[in-house]
Amino acid sequence: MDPLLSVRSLRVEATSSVGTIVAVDKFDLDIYPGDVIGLIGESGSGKTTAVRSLLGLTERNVRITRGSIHFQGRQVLGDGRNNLSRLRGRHVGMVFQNASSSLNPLLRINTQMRQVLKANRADQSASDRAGRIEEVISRMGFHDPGRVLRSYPHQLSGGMRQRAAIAIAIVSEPELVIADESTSALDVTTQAEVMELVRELATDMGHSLIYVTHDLLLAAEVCTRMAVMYGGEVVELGPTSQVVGLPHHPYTRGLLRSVPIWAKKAPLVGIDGTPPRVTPGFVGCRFASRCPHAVGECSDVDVDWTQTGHDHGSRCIQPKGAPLHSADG
Amino acid sequence: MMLGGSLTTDRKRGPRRSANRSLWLMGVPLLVLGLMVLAAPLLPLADPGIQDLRARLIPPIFLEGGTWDHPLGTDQLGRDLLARIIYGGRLTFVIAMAAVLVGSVFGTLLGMIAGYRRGWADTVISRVVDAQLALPFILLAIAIIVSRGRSLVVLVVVLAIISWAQYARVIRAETLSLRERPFILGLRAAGASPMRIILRHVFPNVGGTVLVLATLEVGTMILAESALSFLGLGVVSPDISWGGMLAGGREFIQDAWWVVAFPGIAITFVVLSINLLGDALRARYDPRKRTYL
Amino acid sequence: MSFVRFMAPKLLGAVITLLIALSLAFFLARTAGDPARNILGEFATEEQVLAKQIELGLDKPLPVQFVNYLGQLASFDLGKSLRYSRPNWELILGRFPASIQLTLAAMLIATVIGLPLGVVAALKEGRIWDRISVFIALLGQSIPLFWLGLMFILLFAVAWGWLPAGQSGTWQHLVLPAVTLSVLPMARIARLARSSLSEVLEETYITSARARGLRERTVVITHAIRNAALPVVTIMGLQAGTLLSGAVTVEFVFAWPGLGTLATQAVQFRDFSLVQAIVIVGAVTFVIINLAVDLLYGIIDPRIREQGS
Repeated sequence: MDPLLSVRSLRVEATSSVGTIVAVDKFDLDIYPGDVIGLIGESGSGKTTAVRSLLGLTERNVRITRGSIHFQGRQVLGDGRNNLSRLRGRHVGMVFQNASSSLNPLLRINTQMRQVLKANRADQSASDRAGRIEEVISRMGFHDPGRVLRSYPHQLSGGMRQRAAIAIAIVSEPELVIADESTSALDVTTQAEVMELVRELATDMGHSLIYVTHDLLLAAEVCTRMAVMYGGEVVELGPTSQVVGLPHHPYTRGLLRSVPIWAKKAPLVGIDGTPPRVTPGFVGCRFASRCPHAVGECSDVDVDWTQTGHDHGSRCIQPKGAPLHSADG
Repeated sequence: MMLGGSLTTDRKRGPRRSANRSLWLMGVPLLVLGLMVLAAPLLPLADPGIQDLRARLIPPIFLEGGTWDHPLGTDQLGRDLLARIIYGGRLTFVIAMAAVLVGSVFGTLLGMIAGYRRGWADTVISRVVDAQLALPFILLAIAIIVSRGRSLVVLVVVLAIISWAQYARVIRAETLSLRERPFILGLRAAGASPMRIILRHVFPNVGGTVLVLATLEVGTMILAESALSFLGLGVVSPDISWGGMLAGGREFIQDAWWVVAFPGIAITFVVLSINLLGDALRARYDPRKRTYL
Repeated sequence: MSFVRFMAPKLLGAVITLLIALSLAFFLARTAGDPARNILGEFATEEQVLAKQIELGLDKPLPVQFVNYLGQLASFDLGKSLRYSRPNWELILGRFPASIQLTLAAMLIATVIGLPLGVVAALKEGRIWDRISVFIALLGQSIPLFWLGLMFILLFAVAWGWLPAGQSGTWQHLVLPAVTLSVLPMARIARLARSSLSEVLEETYITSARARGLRERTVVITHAIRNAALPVVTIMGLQAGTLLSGAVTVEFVFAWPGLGTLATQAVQFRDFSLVQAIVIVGAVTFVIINLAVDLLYGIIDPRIREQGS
């Protein structure tokens, strides 16, 4: 099966008055139809920058400096091309972590949904659009979908706004939905409910989903695959069961140990230190300064990707593949 | 917003650095001008009051007929324009500064009291502020001056009345948020007296804002003074101010544009420098870059 | 119904503000000053001053004067001009059309130039266009307008003879005063539009609108500018309210027959009563325009509309 979205060696840099920082680097990712993939990382790991770059939605001081992206086999980035903005809405829908601030306060939900269809589905007639809006909003689990459509965002509760934001993101039937929950302030139950709804809607229609989060537990429940990011790089990628059950990368292991239900009998531990500031001249493994297994080589050479199974790999010179509770962990 | 914390803080440093630069860029010329105006009697200038009817309306040096005796030319009574502009600056500055001092002290105090005490004190002060801002300033000034007569003291008081509400409004808002901050809450819990808290703890925290406002208000006051003097309600002969010079030269504009042009350029230059300085100060003291209406 | 609930408290607030403003105008103009003596000049005899005081009702104690003043206001009586011996409202009404004409023209120019200036600055924040428009706006706030008017007269009327230097009648007469008067509101509108829009552009719902595949033009116009409009509408209202009666120096320079010129004429003749009436009318129009702005708020922003209910 051909991937829906294929990203190769994406590099994103942020420039400010104090210099340049590499926000995302060596970012490779293939997403297949029906995929539900979790993009996991701490704040500052580059996960949000990475997904926003996929749509060309970066801030003014942030630039994609390298890499190529193909969507449905067609190149949209690289070789002098940048058609990323064409993916927005029509092919990729985005749900932001804070629905309240992602809805325009001055427009009714109905208007906001209609705008998306007008912009992306010029082929539809007005009644087609109205029908599509009805159809999507009725699947969101509202008691009174009609009232929601007529409402302004401030007239809805937080949970309802979140659902409305999802409806707006999927109304134009994008093949890929990106849910950015990276700094979510929603309470845990609502968050889980909403995520479950997004997953259902996406997979029911055969669409793919990228779920951006710092919450490993939540991601493990929803996603079939996981990509763990650290310092702007994907450090581990594989099926959820393997990443959680047999983590390769010391960082992934550290993350898992900081989640209570996986730490089990072992003491709950955090990871010492802070992520490095990655400047363009940075050499070596980005996790080396915090890694309990680091050897001299780790800081001296850039670490290549090691594929350990046909769909599982990591960016570590000595991938352990050890279970979480082994003595060396 | 979309990048990690480290990047966002880095971005903030940019405007601050350029703000520092324009602080110098604007501050130095103003300082030089201020010193020149202060030291006017020491400079090799003609006496600004001496009339010489044979030397009426001499054009500035770069026009035909200009002379180095009067680099910027002379006015309708043959008085040296350069000297009059520099001496006129003295009164203009003094009036503006005095008005800003009076207005800022009253406005800031009332603003802090309204914001800190809330309740009826706030209601009363806020209403009066609204009411004050509803009165067209130049008409109010005219009304006061017409009924009380014209004098420098009246002028300063009128200008202060025009500006106090601005301070009160902004400082009230600052104080409102300040009073909920833990260190003020702590002082209140410890039983410190309200006046002590306001003067010793609230004031230092709104001082930056007051400074920014006061700087910008110096410009506003210079403009207001020149408008009133232009209408014959402010500074009048033999005292010299820039607005007064404009009023005197207006009739001769067809024959001697310089009499009107130079004082206006002086006002514009000074007020523009002050506004740029105020903007730079604001960028420094108020990272939120709030716009005061 | 919700509209009444939205407007009623605003109306009440406006009336209270107006009452305080009119009281302020009264006390600021009377306490510690003696209008009668000032009107007659320093050579007046005590008898003349006393007679004048009685004529103006200034011999009575201040509280009585104040009550009389409020009574007059309540019956919409603005008093009689000392100079023209005609009711003040007649004189003021005669000048109103010219003032409104000038204000509308100036606000139109200010908006047409100031709004794009601010929008461009916000969209190109930090770049050369931004700096240029920020500087222009700051310059506009720093020029004494009556002087700018004089310079315009010098260039366009005296030197080139393109436009009339003063008075009114044809559209040509309107050009110079309107352009002069538009400079300050233009600068204010541009500055506020810039700061308001650049704040809104940072909002998530703007990124979100882009992510939905909307065209950049749609994002900027229907999403960003509409949300940034509120403070700009406020400043436009405030400026229009100020211009209507506060264009004193510019009207004076161009001999424009509006309220401002009436006020300067009143000053020349120390027509204390007329000046006071103009101040009152100025405050009333200002408050009314503010109310209209509040109303407009409700139309633009559904959140504000519902606050009352």
